[in-house]
Amino acid sequence: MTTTARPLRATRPRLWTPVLGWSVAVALLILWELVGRFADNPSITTFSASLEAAVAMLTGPDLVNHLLPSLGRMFLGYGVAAVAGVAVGLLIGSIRALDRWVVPSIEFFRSVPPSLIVPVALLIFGLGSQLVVFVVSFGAFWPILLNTIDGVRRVEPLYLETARSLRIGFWRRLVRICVPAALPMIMAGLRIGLSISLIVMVVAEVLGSNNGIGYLVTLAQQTFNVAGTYGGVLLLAVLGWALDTAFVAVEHRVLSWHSSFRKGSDVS
Amino acid sequence: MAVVKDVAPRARASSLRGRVDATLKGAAGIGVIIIGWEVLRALGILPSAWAPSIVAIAEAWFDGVITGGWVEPLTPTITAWLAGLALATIAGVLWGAASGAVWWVWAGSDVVVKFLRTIPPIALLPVAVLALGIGVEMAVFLAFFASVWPVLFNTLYAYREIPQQYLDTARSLGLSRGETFRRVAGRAVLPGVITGVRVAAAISLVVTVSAELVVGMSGLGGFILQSRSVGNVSAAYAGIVMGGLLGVVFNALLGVLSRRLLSWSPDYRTESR
Repeated sequence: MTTTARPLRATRPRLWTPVLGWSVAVALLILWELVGRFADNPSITTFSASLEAAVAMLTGPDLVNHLLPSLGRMFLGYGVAAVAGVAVGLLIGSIRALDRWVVPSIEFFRSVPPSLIVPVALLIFGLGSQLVVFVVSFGAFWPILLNTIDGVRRVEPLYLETARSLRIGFWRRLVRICVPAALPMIMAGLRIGLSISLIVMVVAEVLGSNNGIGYLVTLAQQTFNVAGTYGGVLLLAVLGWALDTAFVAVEHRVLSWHSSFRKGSDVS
Repeated sequence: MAVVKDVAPRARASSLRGRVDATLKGAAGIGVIIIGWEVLRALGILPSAWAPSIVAIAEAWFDGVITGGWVEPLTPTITAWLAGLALATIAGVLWGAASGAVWWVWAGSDVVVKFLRTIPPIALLPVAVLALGIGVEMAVFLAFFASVWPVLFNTLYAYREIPQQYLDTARSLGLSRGETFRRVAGRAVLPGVITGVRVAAAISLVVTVSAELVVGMSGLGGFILQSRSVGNVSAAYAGIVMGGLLGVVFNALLGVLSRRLLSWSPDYRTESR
């Protein structure tokens, strides 16, 4: 790459990047604080007030009464979706003939926004935890399923043919070859499923539960507890960020040996 | 034998016979689900209190089509959905391209973006309601916030992966920076951007509908809530089906558009998710 003309693409000086990034972040927080302090609008509050409210939620009785049950429900729903999605996906993925029969139906169900299920699920389960767990599982199941099927489909045919010529049975092929080869795509699906779980959990709780973090935040908003609302939002934001970061760390561990760990197209 | 089996189905996929075959099998798959549902209902495993017959659901859905009943709930939903998507696309592409071309744009946004993108959009709903009230603007804002990230990242990654050959060839052919940007980089980035838009559209729809549900607004979400509270369960299911159809139709349209726009691209795969 010649350097006489400025390249059309950015070259990234390594040292400056985090410094600049964090400076911008801090500057925005300061801006938030100032706007909150000086703006006349009653629906805006400062960063410090929100932080206070968030910490209060984390350290007070709300933790046990609301936050932990919410997380529990979310992880339960996610767990169910993950196990079912991967299992069914592996099966459907390895039987190529099923493709045309099954995929249109899956594509349809996947397009339904999971939140739309909640009113009907309310009829089935009534208020409470079951509702939340069910809706979360429904929401997270489809991306996990589709990514698993896709992952299995993209396994290098050479691997499978070699296995077949070595007379390795179907189940061993599945577990020892398909699963590790498809793992990056499966992990990508699991990551999407996790973020969907959080979103759907909050929606389900707002509509169908009388406890939990979704309920708390809505209560704050409805009683014009502005600091509490912002605090709850902050908490959810941090939760979303923490879950995603933790997942990425796990993903790196699990996939560190995988040579084709490509970034491909990103799906938030 | 395995090699032949793998090649043959894919070779047939684009022929007319292949497409008819796929459509029939897909329909059969859906048919199995419908039959299964009705059987479970007949056996009493699915109580009719919340599991209306498929016929009833279809009736409710068609009724809305014939009487124009869908127009009222669909208008706010589609407006907010597509407006949010459009804004997100414009912002995402501009931001992504700028980030790829100029180092300090990405360096500055990196930390903030990494945090903001993991915020579940629903978490912002109470804040949005406080600031923007209940209405289309709020839904558009949320949809925008949620769907800008896939477009941003896909554009950025696509930009970074433009083969250096293209840029070098452009320079050796004497193209100006502007021309290179428009005619080379812009086209090269397009497949990635379209994938991003596809994902963004799905997210935008989900967020729009969720906001409507939570707030009890008009729109598809509000319609389903209302139907259920009035006891018209079939209509509620019909609403869910409509929600799914919106996504399917959009994807199909986007697929057609991208096949037209990208017919030149060698590495464009038609069935990417």
